[in-house]
Amino acid sequence: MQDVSLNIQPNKIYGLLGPNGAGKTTLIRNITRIFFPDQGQILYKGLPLSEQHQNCIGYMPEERGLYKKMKVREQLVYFARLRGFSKQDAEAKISFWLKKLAIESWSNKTIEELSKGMQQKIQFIATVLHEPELLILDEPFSGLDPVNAEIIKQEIFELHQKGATIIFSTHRMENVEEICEDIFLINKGKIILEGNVQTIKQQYKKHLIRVDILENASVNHTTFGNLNIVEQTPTYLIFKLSEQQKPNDILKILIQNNIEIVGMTEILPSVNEIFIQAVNATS
Amino acid sequence: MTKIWYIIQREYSTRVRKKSFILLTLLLPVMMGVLSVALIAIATNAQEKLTIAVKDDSGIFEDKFRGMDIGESLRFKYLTNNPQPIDSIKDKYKNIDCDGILYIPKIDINRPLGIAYYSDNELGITTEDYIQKKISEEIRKRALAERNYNVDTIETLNKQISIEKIINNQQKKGGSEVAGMFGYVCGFLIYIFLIVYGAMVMRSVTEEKTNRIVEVLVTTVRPFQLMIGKIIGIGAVGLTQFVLWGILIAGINMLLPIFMGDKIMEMQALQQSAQFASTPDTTKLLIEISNAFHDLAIGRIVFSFIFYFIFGYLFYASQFAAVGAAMTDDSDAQSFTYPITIPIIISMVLMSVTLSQPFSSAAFWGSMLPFSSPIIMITRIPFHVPWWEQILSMFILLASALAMVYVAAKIYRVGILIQGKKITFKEIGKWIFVK
Repeated sequence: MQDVSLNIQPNKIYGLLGPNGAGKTTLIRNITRIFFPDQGQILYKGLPLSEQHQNCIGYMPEERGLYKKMKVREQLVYFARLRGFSKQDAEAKISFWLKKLAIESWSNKTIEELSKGMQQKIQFIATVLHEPELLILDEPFSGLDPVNAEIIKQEIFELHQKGATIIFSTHRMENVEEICEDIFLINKGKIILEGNVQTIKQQYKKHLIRVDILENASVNHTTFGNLNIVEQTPTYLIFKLSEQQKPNDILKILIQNNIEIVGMTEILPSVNEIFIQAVNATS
Repeated sequence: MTKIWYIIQREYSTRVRKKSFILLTLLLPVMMGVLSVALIAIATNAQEKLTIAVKDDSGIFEDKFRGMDIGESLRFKYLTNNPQPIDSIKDKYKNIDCDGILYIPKIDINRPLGIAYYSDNELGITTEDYIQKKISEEIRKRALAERNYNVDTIETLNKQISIEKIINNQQKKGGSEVAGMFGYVCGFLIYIFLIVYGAMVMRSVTEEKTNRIVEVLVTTVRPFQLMIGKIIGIGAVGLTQFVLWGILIAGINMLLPIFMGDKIMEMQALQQSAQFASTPDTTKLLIEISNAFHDLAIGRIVFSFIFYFIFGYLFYASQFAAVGAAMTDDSDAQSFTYPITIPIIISMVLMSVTLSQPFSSAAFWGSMLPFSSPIIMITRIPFHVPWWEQILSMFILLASALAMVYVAAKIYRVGILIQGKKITFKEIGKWIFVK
């Protein structure tokens, strides 16, 4: 990784994006002090990141990091105690979470008896048990069915509301749009794009306007003057506006031609499109 | 410190509760007990039950075979007042419930020829030896008496001697065999422990690495804590197993005579008689062993055993941990473990040299180098090694074990987090010097 500079603001949800092998996990491992950077430094609330911050951070790796032969509850107690919980506190906390995720009945099962998605839930509990201020999740939804993914998603939102900062590494863009406020896009060890999701979308927008209309045969005979039509169907039209044109210009012509308008939206690029465009631009 | 303690607890409790551990810990002593019972049963029951008719034409052996019965397994029946020649009765032993007939013709004491045994079945080797020995003893006595020697005098002259050993102005009662036996058992136990539990440390480290558990753990504990906790935890499992084996084996051995006392006596009688009635030798050996126990300075052996056990394990287990961390998958295991296991195996070879010559220079250096001292020094200690040698060896081992833990921690620190890449020894060497 080179010249990576990030500024993570408290209580925000960040998406860390990048193609395979871009350096996402390496960056995370530096933040979690698994690796140490050759150069540069990481500051936590203004102080160099050190061992004392370990309890402020919760990290959920992409692959399962659980003892296969250990029982669920036993394993969670072990992790909690390493985090400095007393036995009673650990038990109470774990009961709370097992209940919350409706998996109390698995307490005495070993990890290897569980499915991948179930293991993911256990891993999630292990990550959030100590109520970290900074939560780093590497592909938290992989292997989860839609129902369980939704449960975890709600938990992430809840933790966010309670004040946690979340860094969320993934290459599943639909999750990013739903969850993240800000994104960092990494490719080949460098940050190639960063900022608020909506702002970035504005930057990458192609001035496409979609107008939904009532089915009307006369559309085919209408001339739209200097408006550039990208796509035309009996029920909707897509225009690409030039710098000088405004959406109202479209409306004027449509009204003049007596075409019933049902709706009108600006087509913003999806994070997925931005991702592909930005990655291709740098490769 | 508390974190290391939790890690030790986890390593210990998850292993001790495993079915395989409980099974092996219980089964081994039980199997040894079963083996002893089987041996006793075989020795007492599988012994052929023979009744041998004796036709003594010479008259020399009249009554001599009477005292020679061994329990039910060998009985003699005299055919007295039977003037018939042997040829006419040699096939008829079955009529008198005998398994064979021993025929002693009228013999010349100086040329005892023609003694024969007639049967459908071969005589067992022990029985044959026994009968031959008895007959030749008797003939020897007769021959001596014929020459007017006093048989009793000659018996008393027939003495076994043993060399009295005065080491460092102290009289030693025990023989070298007993010391050697002790040394061998101690050395062998440490050898097994190093190999088995060292490999267990390695596998467990590799498991944590491939399962990415370390990535989760390293965010809460230091790699060093993780490594040392694992080494201590698994070592404690090994100690538990050895202690339980010791107690169970001792317990079973104490119970055996209670349930099988008479059988054991019978077996001992058989063994003694099979050894050509060498009762004096056996008692001598027993006395020697019990003398040796007083002689052996049990306290010193126990203390030394625990020391070499712990620090030898620390020395080797940290190497295994380092290698386990450097491995990317199990297929690396072989090439990586050679450098560790070869010194252990060489130590085993050196151990046999040490047993026969405990004060040779090979034995001396073997007990100084930390690679072999846990096995070699413990083998030598029953032979009364000078204290300065032992203290020096202990010091070297202690220092090397700590140094090895330090080096291993460095390798572990880097290796444990490297995934999917083949590691060479050269790279491992570099890690040691990574800050």
